[in-house]
Amino acid sequence: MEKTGPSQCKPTWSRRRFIRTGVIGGAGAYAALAGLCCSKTPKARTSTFIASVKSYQEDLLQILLRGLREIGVSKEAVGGKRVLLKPNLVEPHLGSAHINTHPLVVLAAVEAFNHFGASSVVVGEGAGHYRDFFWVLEESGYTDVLVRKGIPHIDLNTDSVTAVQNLGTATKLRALLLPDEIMKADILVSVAKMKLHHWAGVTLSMKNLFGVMPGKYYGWPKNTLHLAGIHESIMDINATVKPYLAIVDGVVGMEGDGPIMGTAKEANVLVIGRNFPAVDATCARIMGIDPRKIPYLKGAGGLLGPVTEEEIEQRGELIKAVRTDFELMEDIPAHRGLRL
Amino acid sequence: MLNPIKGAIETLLNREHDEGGFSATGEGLIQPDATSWAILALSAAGTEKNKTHKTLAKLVDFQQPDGRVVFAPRLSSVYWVTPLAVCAWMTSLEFKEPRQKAIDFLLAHSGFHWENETPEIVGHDTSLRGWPWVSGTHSWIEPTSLCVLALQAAGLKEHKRVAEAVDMILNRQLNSGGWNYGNTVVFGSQLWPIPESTGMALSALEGCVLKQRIAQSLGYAAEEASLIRTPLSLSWLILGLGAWSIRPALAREWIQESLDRQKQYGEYNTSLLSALILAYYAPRGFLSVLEQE
Repeated sequence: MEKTGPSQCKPTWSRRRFIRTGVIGGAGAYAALAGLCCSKTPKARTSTFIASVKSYQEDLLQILLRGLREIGVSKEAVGGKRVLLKPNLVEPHLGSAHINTHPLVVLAAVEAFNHFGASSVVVGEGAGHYRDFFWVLEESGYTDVLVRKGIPHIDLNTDSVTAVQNLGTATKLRALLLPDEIMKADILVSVAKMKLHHWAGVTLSMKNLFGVMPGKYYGWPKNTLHLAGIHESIMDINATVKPYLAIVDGVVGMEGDGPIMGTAKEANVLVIGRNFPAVDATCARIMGIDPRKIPYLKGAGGLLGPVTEEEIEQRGELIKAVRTDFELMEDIPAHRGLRL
Repeated sequence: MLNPIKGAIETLLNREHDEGGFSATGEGLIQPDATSWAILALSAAGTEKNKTHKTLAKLVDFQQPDGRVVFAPRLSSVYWVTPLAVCAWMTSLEFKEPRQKAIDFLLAHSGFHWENETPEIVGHDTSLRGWPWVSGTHSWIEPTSLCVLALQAAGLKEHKRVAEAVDMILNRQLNSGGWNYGNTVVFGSQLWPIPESTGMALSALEGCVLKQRIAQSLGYAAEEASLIRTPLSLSWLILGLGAWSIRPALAREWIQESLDRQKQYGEYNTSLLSALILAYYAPRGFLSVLEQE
C-alpha cells in the first residue's frame, strides 16, 4: 500500500503537464511545485524497498515486481504510460561491471514496466564522458542484452530539447534544457548505480539524473552543471524533471575513487523507491555513509523528500542486515567525515 | 544493391532541406553542427559545389554579430560548433567574411583557466589555454582539437593560440597513450583514454609535433580502430591515423561495416553519417579535405 510522502503526494496534473507548465509559464509553475510537492517537511513516512540480490543471474524481474508492488507501483499507475529508463552509463569499459548499471537490471525493469502495461519503454542516457553513444551501448553490454531484443534506445546528449523553467532554486540557472524524450515521458525512472563519487561523495538515483542533461548544450562532462555546483545542480534537476521511480543497482557497486576508477564492491542489493532523497539516504546507510553529510541530500531533506531514518519506512531487508561499508578515501575531500 | 558508402551519400543528399541546411535526421530543425558536417562530407566525396552552396549560406544564419556560431541566439554560450562552421566555409571560395569573423572570435576567446595549485587533485596544467564546450567553462580535448583544426585550415598554424593549444593537448596526453575527454590524473589515478578524443587530438596535432611524442597514442588508436565499428569513434580514429600517414589498410571495409550497423541501431544522424563519409574519402586525415580546395 502506498504511503503518503513527498513524492507520493498525488498531483492532479500529469508529470508531462507539470514540466510543460515550466515551458510556458514562470511564477505559476513554481507555485505549483510549492503547492503540490514537498514544500514542507513531510510528517508521514515514505517507503523504500531493499532486496537482497546475490548475483545478476537471479530472477531480477520477480525481485523488481515484488519491490514495485511493495512501494505501491501498480498497473493502474503505469498502464498506457510512456516510460523512460535512465541507467548510469557514464563511462563504460568492457568487463568493468562496477561502473555502470548492469544491463540485466535494466532489462528486468523494461520487462516489469511492460508487465504493468506501459505503452512504451525506452532506455535513454546522455553519457557524461563519452560522445559515442553506440560505443557506450556496446562497451557496457547494452547492445547484446537490450538493443538486440529490439528495446528502443535514445541518446539524450543529442536529442532535440525544450527549455523549461528551473523549478529548483539551488543554482542560478533560470532554465534547464531538457531532451524531448524526457519531456514526452510520463514516467521517468532513474536506474542508478551504487557508487562513491570523488566530487559528490556518492552517486545514486539523484546524481544519476545529471545524465538526462544534454551534452550538446551542457558539454562533456556536463561542464555547465559542474560550474553551477554539483550538489546544487542535482537538486535543481530533480526538482524540475519530477522523476517517478528510483532503482539503484547495488548488486555490485563501487567503493574508493568513484565514479570511474574505484574498485568493485558487492553490496548485493537492489534499492527501490518513489522518493529519491529517501532512496539515496537508504543507499548511503547501506554503504555505511551518513546521508546528512552529503550536501545534496542535506539540501534535499525536507524540500524534495525525507532523509532521516524515522521518516523512511524500510521494506524488504533491514538496513543493518545488508549494510556493507564502502571504503572511503581520506585524500578525497568529498569523502571525509562521511562514515556513519 | 547500392554500395553502402554510395547509399550513405545518397541518404545525406536526401536530407538536405529545400532552403539549404541539414537537421539531425532529415526532419526537424536545421542544426549548424549537422550542416557543417554534411558540407565537409559532401565536399570530401566530391559532390558538385552548387549542391552545397545554399547550405553554406544557410550556415550564416547561425552566426552571431561577434562571429560565434551557435545553435540558437538564446544559447550564445554554446559556441563549440564555430570551428566546424569555419571548416565548412573553407570548402568554398565564397563566405570569406563569415569565416573570418568566426576565426577572429575563436582567437579572442578561450575556456576558463587558472594556475593549478592542487596538482594532487587534478594532474594537468590548468593554465594552458584551449577552447571549451560552453563559454565560461574549462577547455577540453575535443573542442580544442576542432579549433586547432579550423585555425590550421585557415593558415594560422603558426599563431600563438594554436601553439598554446598544441601544448595544452600534449599536456593532456595520457602517459600510457591516448587522450581522455581532457583530464589525465585525478586524485592520483590515471584515467582511461577515449577513442574519439584520441582521434581528434591526433588530427589536431598533425604537423605540429614530432611523431615520437605521440607514438604511444598512435599505437592505442591503431589498436582501437581495429576493434571499434561505431561511427563516431571509428571515424575519428581513422582520420587521426590518416593524418599521421598510418591509415589502416582496411579502413574502408571497417567504415562499410560501421554503416552496416544501422540495421541494428537505426539510421545514423547526419553528423555521424557525415563523419563516416569524410573518413572514407580522406585518406590523409581531416585537414587533407580542406587542403584540396
